[in-house]
Amino acid sequence: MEDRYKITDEELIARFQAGDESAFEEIVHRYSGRLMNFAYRFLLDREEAEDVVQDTFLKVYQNRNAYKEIAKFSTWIYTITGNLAKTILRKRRNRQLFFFSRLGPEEKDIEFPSTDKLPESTFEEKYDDKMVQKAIVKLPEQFRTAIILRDIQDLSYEEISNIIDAPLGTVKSRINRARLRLQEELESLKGK
Amino acid sequence: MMNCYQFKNSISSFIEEDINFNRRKQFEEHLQNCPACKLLHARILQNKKRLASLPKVTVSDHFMHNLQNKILADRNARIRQSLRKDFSFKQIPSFAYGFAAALLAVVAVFFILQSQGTDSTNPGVPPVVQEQIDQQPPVAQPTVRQPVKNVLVADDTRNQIKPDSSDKDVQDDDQPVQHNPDFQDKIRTVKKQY
Repeated sequence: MEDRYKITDEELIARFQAGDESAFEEIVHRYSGRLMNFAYRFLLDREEAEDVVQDTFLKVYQNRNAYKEIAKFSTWIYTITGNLAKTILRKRRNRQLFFFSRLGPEEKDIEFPSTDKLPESTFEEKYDDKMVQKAIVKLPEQFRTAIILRDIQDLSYEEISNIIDAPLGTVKSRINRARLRLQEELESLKGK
Repeated sequence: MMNCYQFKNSISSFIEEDINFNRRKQFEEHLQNCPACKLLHARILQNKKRLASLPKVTVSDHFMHNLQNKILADRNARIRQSLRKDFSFKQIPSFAYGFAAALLAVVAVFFILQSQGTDSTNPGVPPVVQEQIDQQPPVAQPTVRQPVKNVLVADDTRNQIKPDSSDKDVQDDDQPVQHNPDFQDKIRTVKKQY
């Protein structure tokens, strides 16, 4: 297993393109957690986030030959997840069931990940996390994507630039504005 | 000297240490002189740490099983689609119906116009010209050549010259008869002999 981790993502997808199905399983193993975090922070719904991640891997499976080694594999797979998550958001808006825009944050509780796997979490930490997550969801879509990829997923500016298909300067500006806006949202939430 | 707007506009560059030495000095000076920006800087740093330490969300235990089912279902659907070769009107693109209708209309119009053309006496002649033709006096008919009667003809010439033995031949004689010059000479020769 240790040897497998020496293989880069690009080598793995090349093996998968050559017909090695176990390479696909390894890709799923490497990325499911990261993509789940990204999709969940973006959508704030566990089931929808898991669907998005599954659809991402399904697309990777179907379009394995569409990947060319001109970009990093991580960039490619994050782009797919981001696009699918945005589609879910659009569908929500069309159905007018996006509860944050309709009911307001205090009228409905946010679904939060199960704490079973986080025994060290205290009530105070959870409360802070809850507020942070509320504030993230209140950010405009482009700011939300930028701040999640940078501060939660810890991706580089260059990777984010490739994922959201925007120039580096735009990415830096969006992240800066997203951080300022997040602070404003947290201030307003604390004041309520 | 940096102002608050400039500070806010580039605070991420300062946090990420993505600026040069001189710019960094300006940031630090502003931080010392502006309590509001100092507080904002501290808060943003705190938020950044908080975001990085948010609990990790993991996929459910049956994630892989569900994914395999999805892949299998997708594969089966593709196989079924490729096996479905029987004709279906749904397979015909919508523009093909429009094209067929247009083609049919063109063909119908063509036949209608053609049938109208065959009805008129002079197809293609404008009505004004046709009227002028009708008003013109009839042209004098050329004198009808009297048929040669009871003329003995060599066997070879029977196909060309026929004796005028019946009325029905009158109509044929209206047409100018083309005689072979050689045979005409022969006829003259025979006439002279008798």
